[in-house]
Amino acid sequence: MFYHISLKHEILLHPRYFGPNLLDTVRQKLLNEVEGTCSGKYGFIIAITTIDTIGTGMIQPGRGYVIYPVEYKAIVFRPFKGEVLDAVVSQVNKIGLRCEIGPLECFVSRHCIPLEMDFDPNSASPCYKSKDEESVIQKNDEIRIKIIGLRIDATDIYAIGTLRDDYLGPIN
Amino acid sequence: MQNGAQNSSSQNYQSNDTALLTQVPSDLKTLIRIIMRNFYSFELYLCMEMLLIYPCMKEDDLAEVLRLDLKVVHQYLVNLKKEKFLNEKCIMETSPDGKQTKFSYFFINYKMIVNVIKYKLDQIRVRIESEEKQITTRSLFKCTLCAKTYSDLDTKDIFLTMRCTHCGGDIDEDTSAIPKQSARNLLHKFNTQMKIVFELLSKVEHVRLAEFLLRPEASDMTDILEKINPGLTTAKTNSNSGRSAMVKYDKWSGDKTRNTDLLGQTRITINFDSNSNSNQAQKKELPSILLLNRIPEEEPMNRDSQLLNSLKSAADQTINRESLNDTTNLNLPQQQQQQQGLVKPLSNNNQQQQQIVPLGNLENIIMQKLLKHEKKISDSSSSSSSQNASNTNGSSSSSITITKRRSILDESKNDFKKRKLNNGESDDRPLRNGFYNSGSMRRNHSDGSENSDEYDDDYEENEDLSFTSSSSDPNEDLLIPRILVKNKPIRFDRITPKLINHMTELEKENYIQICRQLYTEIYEI
Repeated sequence: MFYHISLKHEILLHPRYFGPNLLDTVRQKLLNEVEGTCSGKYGFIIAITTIDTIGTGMIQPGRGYVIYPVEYKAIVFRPFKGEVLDAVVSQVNKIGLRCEIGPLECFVSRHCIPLEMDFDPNSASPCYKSKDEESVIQKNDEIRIKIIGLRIDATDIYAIGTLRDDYLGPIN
Repeated sequence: MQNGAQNSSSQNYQSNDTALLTQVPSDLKTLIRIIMRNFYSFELYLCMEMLLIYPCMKEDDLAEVLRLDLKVVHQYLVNLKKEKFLNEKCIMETSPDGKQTKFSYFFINYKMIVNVIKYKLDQIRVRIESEEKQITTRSLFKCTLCAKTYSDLDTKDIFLTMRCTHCGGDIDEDTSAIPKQSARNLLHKFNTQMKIVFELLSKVEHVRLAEFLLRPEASDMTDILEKINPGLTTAKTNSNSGRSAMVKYDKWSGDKTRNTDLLGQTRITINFDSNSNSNQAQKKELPSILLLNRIPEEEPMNRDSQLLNSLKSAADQTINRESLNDTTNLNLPQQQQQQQGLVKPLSNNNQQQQQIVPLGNLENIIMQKLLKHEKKISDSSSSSSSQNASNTNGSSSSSITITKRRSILDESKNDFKKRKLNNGESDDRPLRNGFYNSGSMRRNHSDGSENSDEYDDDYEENEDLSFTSSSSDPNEDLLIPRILVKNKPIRFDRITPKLINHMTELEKENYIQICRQLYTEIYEI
């Protein structure tokens, strides 16, 4: 699920950047440091929309580095259990398939793939397909999954999903 | 769904917060029934159902009503008490033999039961969630070398290589940990199925019940116990402290209750034979004592001797009556007749009366006359009559005389105009205690009687009537009671309204009493 929230971050700036473009440097450094990261609490920070305040820098004693506290607003993606999301299949093998939901990686076990779909290792690219070959799931296919479990680390989130529910599976 | 339930519950809470209910809400009862029926055994449900009907029951009574062993019922009740559904209170009761016994009474713990149900449902929810969590964290992959296990969530590291991160060995799927298919939807199913329970819970969540509902008094079980075991409650009331052990074992033998009405199931017997119904509607037959002669038939010799005596006494009477039948004597004044000894005096001189007609003879005559009207005892009943011979002199003879008297009275009323002159009418001999026993009363009235001319005329008319009318049998007249009017006896059937007006109060009372007696005798027979 996506959120637009206010966050805080501290930018540690080398003294060499002190000058007329100091604030631009801070902004640029914020984007580089924050966007695309993941925190266990807020999820994936997709993009910074606004930088609200850049506080007064505090020179670190003995070092000369300056710390700028920055308040900004960002769009974050936080997955939840039970959430239904669209994903792109990245890998397929006999134990299941792996898909990406933006920055989030999700594993779908073969036990969570519909019973009528079987693994076919002999095709050009390994895939899961039904007997009548009406529905096929292979690499780069878009599928709709439901998240059934999350492993949330400090800097990473990993999900497991299922296709065994209503309206889940390949998106035509 | 739960959020919605919480919102509605908050609304109910506001409405019910101040109200102290004096009756257990039907929603609460329904909730208890649903919970018991769905989550507990049928026996426990029955126990709770009985306690919903009868708020406070003794476990003995519950065992009796449910037809279960007391030990089993005790176990059920203890289980329910452990579940916090029931409360128990002990009451000491004294048996008639002075022994004090402690009885356990159980009642529903309305104060706690809603919270208990909520807690248990929450426990179920937590367990389902944990089960669902276990599915995702379950070890699905296992290293063949080091036996390290990997769950689905760990597949990020091993997905590509399928090598153990610890030892680098091959990883195989653990077939023993194949997930169950229905486990994932279990919580959803639970919420759907429990929707009605959640709604009821939200309604009764903050209900406040009155104290007498929270700690009820012992319920009156006599009705239902009487229905189940008709003889049991009487024994119970006698013992005043529940039933005794003997009664308990008797009732469990099943012999007493085999044909009794169980739990109000009345048995209807349809009789297709219509004749039996008609027989029931028929009038009761008169007892043989009223139909047949119960007076013992005496030996012929004795009977002859009695008849001889009675004839002798009757001869005296007939002489007097024959002389009285003479029309010349009718014109004589009463005093003259008395002097001649032809007419019994109207005044109440008992000694004179007894001198004229001995009482014993008269009774014999009456008995002989009554026996004529009795039906003959059949041969079959003769033996029984002879056995009861000694007892029949008193009561049976009196009943027969009553029967006879009624018939004679009817006859006398119908044939009133046909009767002829009879001098024996003036006999005021006491026939029955109720009719002529008031001799003292008559004496009092004879002293202070005020005879008007009108009365005299009426009396003379009646006297004429009394003398002119006579039944075919002169002894029958003796059976007709006399009524005193102004201290003068007049036949009962000749009392007219005019004469009634001339009666004194005491005479009227006497007359009314006699009338009542006669009519009761008529209708009793």
